[in-house]
Amino acid sequence: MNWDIIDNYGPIYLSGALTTLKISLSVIFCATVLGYFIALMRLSSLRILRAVCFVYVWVFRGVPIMLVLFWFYYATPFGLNLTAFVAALCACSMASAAFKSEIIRAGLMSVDKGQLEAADAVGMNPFQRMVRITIPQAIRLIIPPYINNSVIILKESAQVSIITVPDLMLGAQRAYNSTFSVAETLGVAGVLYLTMTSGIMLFQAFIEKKLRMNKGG
Amino acid sequence: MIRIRNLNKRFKEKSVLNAIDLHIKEGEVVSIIGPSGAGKSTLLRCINMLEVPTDGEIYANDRLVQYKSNSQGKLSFFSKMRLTWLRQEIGMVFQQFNLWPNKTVLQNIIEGPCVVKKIPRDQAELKARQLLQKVGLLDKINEYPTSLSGGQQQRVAIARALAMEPKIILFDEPTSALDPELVHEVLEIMVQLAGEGMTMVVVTHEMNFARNVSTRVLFMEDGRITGDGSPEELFGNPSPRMTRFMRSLEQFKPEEKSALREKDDAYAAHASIVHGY
Repeated sequence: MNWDIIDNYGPIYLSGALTTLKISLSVIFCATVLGYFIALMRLSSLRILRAVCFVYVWVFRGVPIMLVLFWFYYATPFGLNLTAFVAALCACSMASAAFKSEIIRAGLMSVDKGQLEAADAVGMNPFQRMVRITIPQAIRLIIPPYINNSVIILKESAQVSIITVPDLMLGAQRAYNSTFSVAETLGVAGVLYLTMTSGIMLFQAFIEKKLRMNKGG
Repeated sequence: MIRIRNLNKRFKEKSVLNAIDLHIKEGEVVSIIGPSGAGKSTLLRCINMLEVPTDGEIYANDRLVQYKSNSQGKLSFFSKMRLTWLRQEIGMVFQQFNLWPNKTVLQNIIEGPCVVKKIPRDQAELKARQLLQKVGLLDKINEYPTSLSGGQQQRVAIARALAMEPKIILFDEPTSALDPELVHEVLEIMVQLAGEGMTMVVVTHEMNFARNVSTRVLFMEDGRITGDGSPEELFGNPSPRMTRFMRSLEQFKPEEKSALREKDDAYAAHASIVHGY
């Protein structure tokens, strides 16, 4: 075993991990916002909105992220010129939004109709009802699948290395290309990935406790 | 207070409400009775637009309720935004209580005043305490609804409706989901409210409430109001259809009745065999 790589490649690993974290959290945020609106549109009474979002989800859930990444980076639409990081952010966000929207839609639909009627009956408008009644209850329900999907987003962010975003995976590749100690270099990357995903899982435990999800109400 | 003119409601091809004309005056306690499937709940829910009428006019406090439905037969988004005034003036108590399970009793009650009427929290809380005192649940103020019995939940729901200081309260079978021994605690509060002069419209199967507490009884069948008058008039001189309805209520044991009520056709068929109609 050759552990010198930690001394030699430590900074590359760290900056790579930071990039991974940055891109994952940005993607989770963007995909959630985008996914929320897609979910709302899929529940809309307007057929055209429902159709557009159905097609969106159908396409982005069905094609590999890698394909979307290439498409955004090497064949950017409208002649735009994106940096690798921005292209990766857009591609991953749009692909993940399809999954997030389905999770959020399930949450929004799960809220008991009677409770929404009760909100209507006290005179709440649709926005107040959404913020005060629907979202707080939907969140409880979707936390497990939502966090699940967020962990997957962080792991899948390793794919952005193929369009040269200097993330943790790319750092690890560089390290083993020059040292040829595959087990150690990838081992270190694995530990760093595991640390970051553990962070998300700890957050899940914290939020579930905070929302009293264990008390079944 | 509530004036309904030529109200119709159709679900697809099925007509549920048929040319309803109704005027509810201030201070009236109106009981709506009748066989299931007669459109009692639908009429009640049309008053505060939880159900959108197919056509017809509704005036609340002489103000025309303007509504528009979307492609799915629900209230359109803009109507929802515009009709919050109506819902603030009309309280509603549901058969299934519909308390928000993620909020405590106190939070359930102050939610409406704080969010909709923008009343400061401490004021709303003071009011909530008074209301809880009134329904006898001040000691449960920080409990969650799931830890309360059905009767207690329904009393909280009444307090929640009262917190908005509505001019009229609609009760949609408020005691039907309760265990028999809990019915009286909810009825007592309703009797108290009626005594205080609150305008109430109650869809109910509690004939004693209809007979003794309400000032006016409506008998509905097949989407029409076929009996309208004081309890003495209606119960003293019932129409043949109402006699049949009353007798069917008395004949069966409650369990048997609710099982049969599930399917109105079966119920009617059964009643006709038993009573020879």
